[in-house]
Amino acid sequence: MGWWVMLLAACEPEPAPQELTVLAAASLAEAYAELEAAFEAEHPDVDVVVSLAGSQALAAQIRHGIAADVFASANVAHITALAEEGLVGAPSRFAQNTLVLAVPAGAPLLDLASLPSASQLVVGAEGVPVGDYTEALLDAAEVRYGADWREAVESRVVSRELSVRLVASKVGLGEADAAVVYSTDAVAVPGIQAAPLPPSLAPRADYLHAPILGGPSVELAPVWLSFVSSEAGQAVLADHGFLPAAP
Amino acid sequence: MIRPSLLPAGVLLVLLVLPVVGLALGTGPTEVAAALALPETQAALRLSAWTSLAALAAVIASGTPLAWWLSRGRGRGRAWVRALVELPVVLPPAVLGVALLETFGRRGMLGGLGLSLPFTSGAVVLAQVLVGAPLFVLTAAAAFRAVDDDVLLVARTLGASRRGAWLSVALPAAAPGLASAAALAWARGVGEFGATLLFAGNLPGRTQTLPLAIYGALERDLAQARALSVLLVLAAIAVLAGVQLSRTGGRRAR
Repeated sequence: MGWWVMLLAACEPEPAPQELTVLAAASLAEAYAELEAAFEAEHPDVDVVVSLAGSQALAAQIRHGIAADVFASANVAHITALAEEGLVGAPSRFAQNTLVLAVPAGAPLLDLASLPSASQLVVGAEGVPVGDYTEALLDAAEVRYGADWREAVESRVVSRELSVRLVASKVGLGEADAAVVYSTDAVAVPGIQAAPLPPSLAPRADYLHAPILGGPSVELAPVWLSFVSSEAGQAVLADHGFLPAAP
Repeated sequence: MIRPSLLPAGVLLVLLVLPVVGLALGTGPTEVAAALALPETQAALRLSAWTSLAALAAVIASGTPLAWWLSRGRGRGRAWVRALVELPVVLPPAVLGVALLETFGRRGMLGGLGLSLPFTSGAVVLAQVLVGAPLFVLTAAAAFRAVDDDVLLVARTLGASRRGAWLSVALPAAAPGLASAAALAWARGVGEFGATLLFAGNLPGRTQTLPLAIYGALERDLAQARALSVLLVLAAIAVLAGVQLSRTGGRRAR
């Protein structure tokens, strides 16, 4: 009996699924894993491959001619620069995220005023979206807390990491006393707890996506983009703590 | 003599050289000079220079006696020690980085002692020692193996102390091999990337070595990454040339 099933299966000509490669900002990891499964359930003939890294690294890969179809960036700067260079189509916003101040689980929560009491801070490097958001946050907070506060904070920075997940994992490991990450990372990365930051100081993170022009499955890109923006897609993102695209 | 098949050998040689040629063709001297002028580059250069030399000093000081001991016999104990020394060579650098965090991190095995190495220049040096030491010890042991016990004995009968015999006979005889061992260990240490990134972090001036600066630059400014890469290639060629000279020089002296 088993043999017959196998034989029948072998006779059925099964077309190889078409690959759709999505380059996604590191903070989208869990949400995009779920979106990938949901999309593949709806489109059995498509195999979605999600590649995660800091948005700046993905932008560099696109400039080096990586064969991929969709770019989902955690800030406006990288994707608009690529659009101006003619490498990706028109970007559209599909989600937002808030910044939080993360500390290792079990440690007392910190706020901006008490941030210098942490002895080791880890931030994102320049160009890494969370690094640039952190810089904007510190610039705004400096007005309130003063130049000495800023200097104290900067002097406690021990590493500038290349993606928000590398930042968050240093907190989860207990090697960093505090770090600015997205609220979604504070949920996704184990060993972390977080306090919200004042909305008047902390910028909102904007997530934009666009088709990569000349990608191998570029005709599938709009299907993925509208799936992410659909009610079902937005519900998955909301489940993982992302805010809707519309402000 | 069996005539080797030249075609695959030629293909391999071309493949070995091609990336370096590609790198050199893509970068001009003005690009390298511009990259050298950046404060970030100078900080990375200085850090890479002093950490790799500190690591090399530690490797030579501790690795030379170990290599000598390994070279003086083939017992089971030595085989086990040799396998231990080889371990970091076969471990992926990322594994080494995680292992170092689990050992020397705040919550690591030794964290209870109040020791916290991650994010310090000491972490950079430790990673370089661990990847460089095996290369030094194994190459140096091979060089020491060529030193005959009888020659040492003769030196002893001529009145040399144990240490004196070793210094005046064994060390000079193995010197060219020791020089290549040191050069290999130093080059491997300078190139260390994975374990450093995970264990030491990435802070200009403190833990951002040249390879980390190249990786960071690759995401911002390709020209800078290329120029820094050319710098490291030049350093590597200088080391190779030095080793070659010390080998032929050593041979001529004999």
